[in-house]
Amino acid sequence: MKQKILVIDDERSIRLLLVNFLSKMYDVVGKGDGEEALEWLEGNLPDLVICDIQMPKMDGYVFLEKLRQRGYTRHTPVIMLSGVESSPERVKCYTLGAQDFLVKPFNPEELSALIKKNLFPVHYALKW
Amino acid sequence: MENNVTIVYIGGSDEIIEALTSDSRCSVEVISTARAAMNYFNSGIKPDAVLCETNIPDGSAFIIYDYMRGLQRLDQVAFIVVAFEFSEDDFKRAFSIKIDDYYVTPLPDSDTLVSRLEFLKEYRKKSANPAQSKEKEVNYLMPVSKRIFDIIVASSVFLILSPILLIVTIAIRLESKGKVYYTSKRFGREIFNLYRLRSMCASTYTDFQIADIVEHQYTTTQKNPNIDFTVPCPFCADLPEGETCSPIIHTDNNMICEYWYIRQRKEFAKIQSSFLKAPDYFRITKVGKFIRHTNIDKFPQLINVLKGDMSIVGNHPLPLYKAELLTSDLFSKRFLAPAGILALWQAEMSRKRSITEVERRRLDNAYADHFIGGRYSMLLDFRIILVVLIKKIL
Repeated sequence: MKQKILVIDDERSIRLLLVNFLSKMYDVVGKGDGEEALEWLEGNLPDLVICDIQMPKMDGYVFLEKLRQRGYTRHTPVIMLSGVESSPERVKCYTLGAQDFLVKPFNPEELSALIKKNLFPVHYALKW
Repeated sequence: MENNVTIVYIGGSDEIIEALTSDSRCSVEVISTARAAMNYFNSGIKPDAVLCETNIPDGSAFIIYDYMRGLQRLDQVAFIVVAFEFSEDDFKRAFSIKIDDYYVTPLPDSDTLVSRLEFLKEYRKKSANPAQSKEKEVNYLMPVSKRIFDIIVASSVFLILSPILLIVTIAIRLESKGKVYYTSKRFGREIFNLYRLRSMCASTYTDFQIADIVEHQYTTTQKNPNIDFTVPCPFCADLPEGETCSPIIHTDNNMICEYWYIRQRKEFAKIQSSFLKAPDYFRITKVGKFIRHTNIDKFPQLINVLKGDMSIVGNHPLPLYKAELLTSDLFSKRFLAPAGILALWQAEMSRKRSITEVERRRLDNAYADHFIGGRYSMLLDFRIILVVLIKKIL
């Protein structure tokens, strides 16, 4: 069975780009804002979450905080996307419990590798 | 729920009881056995939430949950399982039977718990009255008619051109050693290997394969940008001494503010990428020159079309180092359309003779818009093919 990835980005083209790009390998669901994503999470359990930071209704930080408050998703790997390259943003994401941080525009191959790294950490550990 | 949250705790952990009772907003009822919990549920009291340890004397959280959900009066009450050790089976079971949450101790602080319970209450209200069904997201679909057209055109053209391909491949092989084709990683809707006929010396390819060179140099640019530490950041210069506009980052022997470092790195990358466009490294063969001029080197892309990586008409798939610059909010729409051999901007260029990079991006996005829902029309593809072919012939 394909692993499930939740993509949250208010920008439809990025969201669909990720859904299209990843759907061959994974079962991908796209949501336009944090609130919608949290509601979806009540009935679904993703293996990984990709979340944009700058979003209008509920930004990525609040979403990440709420995600970590839920018992079911306390340890779900999260990759944060941002349009701004800044270390304070990265630090904030890591502090709130994100695993990785990627700046837009990004190399799709890098995102793919980050997903694999987070979904199969044991496999990577064995390689080291 | 701001004033008082009634929580029933079924279990015996003093730590949890103490944590819950120490919050003045929580009114906590502690029950230690399954039988006592069932009696409590039958007493007519309706709590806001039930926190239940996985294993309790004379029962388990799952038995109590089943019992509670069987009572219609309590079907809106949040039920949370508390485990002292993570068990994958229990976790999966809890989720599959729709238990609201599964916490492994230590429990989150009471603020978090209360906010989680508030969310669950709101969510239950919403799901009980599914008022407006949300509009389904319109995806950019690849139309079946386009795929059929691609297969028919690509296979026919491939068959017609196969004698030329055969001659050209022999010529490539005779002129220089090495494979007759090469692959380059491209990104359209997904990453795939684009096939092309080899037009340069194989030795050059071994050492300086285009994609590798470009990608390698690009990463070099990222890793060792030519940062000038002697020029101060213009924003930091206006600040009092010791203050910086952004956090300080440390390189080997220098320190620089993050803003100035990123800005210089971007400027350097721009210069490098324009420098990379001049393919002076590669020795083009005679056959290579001919097949490039006549576009015969692109014929193997028909295999990509047959494989479904590309379409006859679509946005040109980009090398990863170029795609990396366009996966932003503004330009990413182009990747929603299928990758293609002939692009809309090529048809537009034939009329206007020249086209800017910005226009090209705009046209790529405009082409992608034709794939929303059922908007796609083959007429646009036919027009693009016709205009580009006429332009090539003339």
